[in-house]
Amino acid sequence: MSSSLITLTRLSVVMALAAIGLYAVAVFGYIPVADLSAALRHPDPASFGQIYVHYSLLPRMFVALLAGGALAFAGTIFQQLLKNPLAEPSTLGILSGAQLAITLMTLSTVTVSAFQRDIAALIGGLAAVAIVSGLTRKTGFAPMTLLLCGLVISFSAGSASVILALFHHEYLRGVFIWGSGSLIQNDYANAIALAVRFIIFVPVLLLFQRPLAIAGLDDANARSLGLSLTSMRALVLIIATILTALVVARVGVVAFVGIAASHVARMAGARTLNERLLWGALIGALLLLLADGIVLVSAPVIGDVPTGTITAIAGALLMLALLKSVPSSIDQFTPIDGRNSTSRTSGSVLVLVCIVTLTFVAILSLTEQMFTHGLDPWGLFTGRWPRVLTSASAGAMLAMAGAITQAITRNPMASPEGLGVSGGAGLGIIAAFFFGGMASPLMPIAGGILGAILSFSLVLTVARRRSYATGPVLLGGIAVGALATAIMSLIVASGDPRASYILAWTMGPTFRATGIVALIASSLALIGFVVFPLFRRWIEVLPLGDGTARALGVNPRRSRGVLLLFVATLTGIATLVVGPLSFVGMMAPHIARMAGARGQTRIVLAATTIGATLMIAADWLGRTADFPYEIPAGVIAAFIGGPYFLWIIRSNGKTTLRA
Amino acid sequence: MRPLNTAGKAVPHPAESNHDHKLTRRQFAAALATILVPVNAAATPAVSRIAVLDWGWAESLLALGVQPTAVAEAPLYGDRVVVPALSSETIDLGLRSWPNMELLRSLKPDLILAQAGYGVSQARLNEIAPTLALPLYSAERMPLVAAEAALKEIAARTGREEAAIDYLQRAHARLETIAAKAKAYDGRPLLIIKFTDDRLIDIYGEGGLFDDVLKRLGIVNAWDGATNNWGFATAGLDAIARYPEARLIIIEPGPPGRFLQSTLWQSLPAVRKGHVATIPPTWVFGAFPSAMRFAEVIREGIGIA
Repeated sequence: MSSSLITLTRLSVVMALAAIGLYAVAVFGYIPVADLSAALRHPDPASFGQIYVHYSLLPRMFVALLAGGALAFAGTIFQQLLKNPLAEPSTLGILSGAQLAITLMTLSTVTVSAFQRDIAALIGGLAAVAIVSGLTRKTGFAPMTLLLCGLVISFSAGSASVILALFHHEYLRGVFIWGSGSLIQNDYANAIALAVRFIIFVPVLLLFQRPLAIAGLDDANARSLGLSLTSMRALVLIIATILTALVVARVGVVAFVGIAASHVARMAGARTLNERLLWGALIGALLLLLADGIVLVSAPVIGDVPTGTITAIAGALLMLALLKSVPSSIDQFTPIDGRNSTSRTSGSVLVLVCIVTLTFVAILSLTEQMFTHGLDPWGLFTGRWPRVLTSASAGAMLAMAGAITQAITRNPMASPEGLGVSGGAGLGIIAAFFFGGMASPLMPIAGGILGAILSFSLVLTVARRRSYATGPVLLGGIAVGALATAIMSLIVASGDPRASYILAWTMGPTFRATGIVALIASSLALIGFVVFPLFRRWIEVLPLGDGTARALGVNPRRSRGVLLLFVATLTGIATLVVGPLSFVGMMAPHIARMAGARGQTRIVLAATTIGATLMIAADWLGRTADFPYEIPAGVIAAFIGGPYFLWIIRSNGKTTLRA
Repeated sequence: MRPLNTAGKAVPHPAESNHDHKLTRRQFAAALATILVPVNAAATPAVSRIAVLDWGWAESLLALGVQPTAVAEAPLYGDRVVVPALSSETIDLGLRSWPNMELLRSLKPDLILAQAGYGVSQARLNEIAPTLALPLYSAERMPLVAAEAALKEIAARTGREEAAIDYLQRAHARLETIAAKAKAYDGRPLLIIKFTDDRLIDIYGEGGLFDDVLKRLGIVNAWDGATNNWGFATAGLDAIARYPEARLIIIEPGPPGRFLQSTLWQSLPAVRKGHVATIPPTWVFGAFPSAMRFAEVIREGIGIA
């Protein structure tokens, strides 16, 4: 519609002018205009301003251009290859995988050279892609499944990095500053390294342009042209991943440039693959330059914010806006089918077994004395009941929320963790710390609830346009989660001594629970349990489809909205207790179904008990695994839940046939 | 978790692994100990089992000649605070921001020392044992004054008043001596920095312990920019260039690699004029003993011995 006004050339010129203008403001803050040509060509060693422009700002421009171009180029390749408009280095888990590998290397070696950093990034990035593609190969790289895998890996790797920071806060500050994508330069080393990588990899990838263009049309079509699709795909995937990892090793995590650039290029009129690749790379380069210019000019006001944080925040918002472009056809998952389970346990026996297990685990956690001695049973009990009860309540609420979400969406991957509520609660908690201080525990609780409500409203607003289709809701939630992760990295990088305290809060500190918190959490869980029967009819009817629901007198839109609100409330409260990454809400209903629970109501009941058991066990493990250091229960649950999530995706993929 | 955690503790910080540097630090510590740590340790303090959740109070306690029973993140204390040294038998209580409450309870301490407004609330600690939650980095933004008050209060609670009077007397006398010698210093303002990596630095200013010490010594701190709650600001190298007249004080560990040879670094006005000094690792969020250590290292650093 506006194609006559916005053309690729005009857009690029405007972006370039804006970015150069911002840089000019920064440059002329250091040197007078008359010295510009001297500073660029032969800086006077006696003038710091000239040296700074020559050795810091100029290479910084090159790095921004090269990194943005390479990431956008790789992003377009991934999108074409996987036929997925939202594919790019960050959504495939490459950036987080590389970051985790570099963090681990920093902890295990004395000094990390640039070369070691490259190798670590390569290993991490390739491992992430191997896992993602391995898991989704069976579904023919179904776009939604692929994104979910990539983002779960991103989450797991990102949270692993955050946990490492929790324990090695001061050691890892430098790594985290790098990890948040700071583009500050001291010399031309990075610019030269990136230029070499760009010159080698971009032409190599362009060789595949023709086969890629065909692959973009149709699998069957390509096969009839005699292409070995699988091997070509794998090869291109590996080369593009190597390029991405080598860029990450130099500039850190700069997410979402790939998505943003290719979408802007497409909107401005790039049609063929060739156009999208070249214009996409140019626009990516200019986008990162623009973002970096903004960071540079605003640094005197807001401090040295890493450029990657800005792109992550902008990108997460962009992703929310782009959700409508995800084709509806890819929202299809195998509907949950309870009948294929082998177990024949009767319902009441199952619930009984669950309750017995719950009691056993709770008693174990309340009484064991593996590391502490000389505590009388009463002293032990008074110290432990709040955390056990709090864990149980949070687990139960998450499991109930998960069971309801999975029932009404018939999506085995739906879970409260994926709704963005958890990430929003985490952001709210962080905001409360910075604006309210650490004095009162009520502030973070209020902040968490507010954050949960806000983020959920945001995701719902986006999802409403898609009639609450599961895929967009999940992706919206994941975008909010990505936002939370970016901000947490920023806090670690800030060097604020409160960082480890704040990190622990966002990771779900059941060990911090007091008697009052435990009583509030358990009352809320009980209220949820009591209210739940009111929704039973909806939960039984909605899975049958909107048409059937309407015929049975249920307004599908309204009932779904109310249920989602109920789920959000449960999740928001539980997140405050166990943190955003537990995956218990996804796991518990699955275990209930595998154990043989039938009928939506019974599944919800069994899942609730199982969720409580899982969280108590996670809390106990967190307490004993690294005594006397406490690992947040939410983190322990996430370590089990992340792989479980991927395993479910895999077994789901096995039975899915793509149309 | 454990392997990673132990790995982290076992591996020295990149720049701290330098042997020469370790030696200097140890020699330095020994020299300091002769000046500042009382030789006659306590006979029978009023409270014997003390659990400490803040390193500033741990070093204060050690300065009074009392070994704490347990300290949060005790293994890391040796790397960061260095002196006064903790006994190797000190029990590790877990994270400073959240120590292991059960372990704390089972140790049955007579007294818990915590920093007010950081980590576990005093109310919860009081359930376990009498707790002294003392302010250090607070809205008052005067950590040196807070550290001295805290030292006295800790002494009063542990029956070490005499040791405190003795220690503070010697400390103040020492500060007077250094301040008197500082009159001979050329008066060049100091910019005290610590590298986070080779691109960003922490600069210590108003509201920090080091700034308070400089004021006490009558030396001007060059940094006049804003600082956070803990008295430091994080900035790029260009911030250093904004103070061309300042003398640069780098707290070790310095930047990785050959950064100090780079053109950019060499063109900094302070570096060009040779106004740069390096001082050994000093705990930047510490209490009175850290302040004294800083006074000594700065005295050596600016050459007013």
